[in-house]
Amino acid sequence: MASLESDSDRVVVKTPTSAPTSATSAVLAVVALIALFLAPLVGNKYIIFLITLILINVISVQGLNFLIGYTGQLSLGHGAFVALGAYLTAILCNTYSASFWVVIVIVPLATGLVGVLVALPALRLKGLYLAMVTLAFHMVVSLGLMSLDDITGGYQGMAVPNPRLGSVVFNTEGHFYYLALLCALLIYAASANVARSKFYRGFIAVKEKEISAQAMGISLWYYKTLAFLFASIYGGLAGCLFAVTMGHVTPNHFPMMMSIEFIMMITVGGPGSFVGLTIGASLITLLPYFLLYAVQEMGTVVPSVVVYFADIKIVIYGLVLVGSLMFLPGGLYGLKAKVQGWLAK
Amino acid sequence: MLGELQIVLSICLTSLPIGSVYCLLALSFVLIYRATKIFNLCQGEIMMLGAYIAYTAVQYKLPFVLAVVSSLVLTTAASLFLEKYVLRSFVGKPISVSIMVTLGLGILLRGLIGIVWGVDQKVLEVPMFEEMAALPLVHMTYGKLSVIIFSILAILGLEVFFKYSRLGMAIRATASNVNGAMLMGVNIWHVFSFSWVLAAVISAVTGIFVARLSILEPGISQYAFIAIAALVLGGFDSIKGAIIGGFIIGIFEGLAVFYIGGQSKHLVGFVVMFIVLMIRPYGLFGIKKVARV
Amino acid sequence: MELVRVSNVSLNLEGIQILSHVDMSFEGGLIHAIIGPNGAGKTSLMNCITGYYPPNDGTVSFRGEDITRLRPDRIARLGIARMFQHIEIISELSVKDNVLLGRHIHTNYNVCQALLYYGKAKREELRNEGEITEIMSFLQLEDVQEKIAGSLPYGTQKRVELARAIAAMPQMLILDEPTSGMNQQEKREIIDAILRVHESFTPSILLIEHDMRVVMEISDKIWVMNFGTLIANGCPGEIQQNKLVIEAYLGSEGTC
Repeated sequence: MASLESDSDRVVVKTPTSAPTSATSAVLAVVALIALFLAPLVGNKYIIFLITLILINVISVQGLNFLIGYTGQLSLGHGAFVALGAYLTAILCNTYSASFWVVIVIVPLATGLVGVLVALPALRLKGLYLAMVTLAFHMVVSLGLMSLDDITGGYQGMAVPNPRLGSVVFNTEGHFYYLALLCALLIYAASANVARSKFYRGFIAVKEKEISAQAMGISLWYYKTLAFLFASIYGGLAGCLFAVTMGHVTPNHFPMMMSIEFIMMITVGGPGSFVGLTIGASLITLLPYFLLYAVQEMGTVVPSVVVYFADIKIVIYGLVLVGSLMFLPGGLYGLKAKVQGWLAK
Repeated sequence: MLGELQIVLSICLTSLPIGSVYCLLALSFVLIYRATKIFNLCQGEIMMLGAYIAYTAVQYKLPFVLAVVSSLVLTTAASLFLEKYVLRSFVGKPISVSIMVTLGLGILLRGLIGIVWGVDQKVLEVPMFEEMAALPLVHMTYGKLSVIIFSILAILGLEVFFKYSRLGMAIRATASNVNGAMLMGVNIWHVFSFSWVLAAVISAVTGIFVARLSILEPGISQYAFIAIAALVLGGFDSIKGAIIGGFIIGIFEGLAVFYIGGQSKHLVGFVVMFIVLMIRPYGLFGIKKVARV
Repeated sequence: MELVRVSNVSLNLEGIQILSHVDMSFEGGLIHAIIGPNGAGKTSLMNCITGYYPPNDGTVSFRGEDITRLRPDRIARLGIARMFQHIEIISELSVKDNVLLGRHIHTNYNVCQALLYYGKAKREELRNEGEITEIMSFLQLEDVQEKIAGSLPYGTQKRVELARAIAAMPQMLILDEPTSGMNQQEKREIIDAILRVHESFTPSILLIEHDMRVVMEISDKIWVMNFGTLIANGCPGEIQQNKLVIEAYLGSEGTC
């Protein structure tokens, strides 16, 4: 019988802890790594650019995972951290001519500070209230970026100069690809280490059973704030990489829909596990590009379709979000476990 | 000093229509939330659907009353469809999941409306809306007067319904204790469906008012988000709170436009919401829950 | 030696007087049982001691220090561990991770060290894994240690929770109706486990229990509550003869 009394108002998803241990996973990982490192030598520029975007989103969504997958805090405003990171990068590199290599360290720390500030009110709020506040946070950031146009360039945005490393100027897709790849691998390693530490256990305890977590000496505010810190640092780093890859930033790059895209990455791929998050990030990053291509192709047959691209896009987004929640609890990665369970019978 | 007071009072009066809109939207949210514990983030889009259906009916030269009726019927049908085939599978799941689902449904609906009707601004013809009311003491248009009257009717109607009708009592029972209600023979699935029906009816009519008070375009679903601020102010599970919250936000918006001007209107709702969440998260009339350890 | 003292504690929640002027003193090294009809305030008293409900009046002290207004996680770190009435294990984690959670207070490394993992974090993790092996074999959890806790039967989950509480190496262990919902055999197992724990690991235990046979069998001292106050205390023999106690239990002579 359905019961509405089960009232833990957090996202509770039961997935096995990550970290691939079996031999086949290790082999697959090595193969994937080699492929990733060699890609720019064989792939065309557009594909390399897309993979760079995927890598950036992988970093971002791993940050969000600390909030949604680990501590169960639903944040509908993750895009705001990415936006802040990107704009801060643009401002520091452009207006203040700072060296990118200093900026890439400072920006995540700065967005981290913002994350801690956002976490403070969030500590008192749960479920719906938290969702609304994070949504409002993204809105406020968006509004701010557009209104403070003497600093941010308003609607037109700002250009981001190419980084220089010694005599090398970063100005091709390949350069930004390797930069993003390196950062993504570092983030993977960091997250994997956290996942086998006491902090992972603490996060999950805070998500599932706040009351007994405290009885084990876990400070709720510390862990909830820590989750926000990870989310905002990762988001800021992603924003920084995004700014420099695109070469410019405008408010259009960070609409409210971006926060929803991150949510979709988690629901489609599967919260908690790195593989799931990567799958989700890949699919959802590519989705709008694929849709654009599809609609343009259809436009050759039915020209009027193209006008409706924006609406078609959000219809598909809605279907993906609702569909993944209805039919894929645990995401695509969770599906693999289910199928394995099936086959074992 | 008296002049100030007069200004404020007149602002309160002119804010009544928009306050009524927020109140009605907030009521729709509360109706669904109390019975099903699901917070329906696509209520704004349902409201919008009602407006667009009425628009099409009017385009087809239907008399206005029939347009309203067809809007009610079709919006209710759409709501029931969503409730039965989508939301029902999420009963019992954590609130965060239902937030994401209704959010997804919202953007789905918004996109569909954009495809079917286009994103350009449209005008919904409502007879007599802009005429000044030919009633003594009343200095507003029929349209604005009607929305205020409608909200009063809705409030009173719901009050009577919940207190005196069997279905109303069944809904109240389900709202306070689902399992208990089930044990007493209440068909909770009917209760769920009916809450959505009530919410749809109220939202559809509100949509028609909004389309006329403002404009008809896919962006008007945003009014629902401001109604959420009203709910935060009033407390999520309180009908009384929804009403008072709606009107207070309406008045604050009016005051903000007058004293600060321009864009501040949009921010008012969120500033209020934020302050309330910090000081008194359960709202003015919500129930503070003591954690049972 | 007195471990926990409850002085004149009163608690009023939502208009209901839950506890009135409760005075208790719990010595270290003993098994104290707290009994009383439902609604007597036993769990609420535990909540006051462990910091979840701040009392309106009175104080709670632990080893002489006032802990009345401390937050639950601070109190836990001082050395009071607790099992709850309802299952509170983390169903998403493995059994081993659940028990390791008990060691949380004793696992000493910070976030930065966790990010690097190799070095202090790894050493601490391995050390704590070693510390819990004895507890897990004690409670016969070695076979299931990698299993997801949520998939296990009720009795096993309770043992996991007990293991987690012990893993914290507390000075005082509070058990809130550990045998509720169990059949005879499961009860036997848990009681044996508690007794062995008492002998080997934890000196002091506060036990809330309804099953009178269990209470009489294992407690050193019994505290009887009714309507939010203490109505009697003493050793099992005395309590069995106490008129007030018998009156309080009229109609519910122990549990079967």
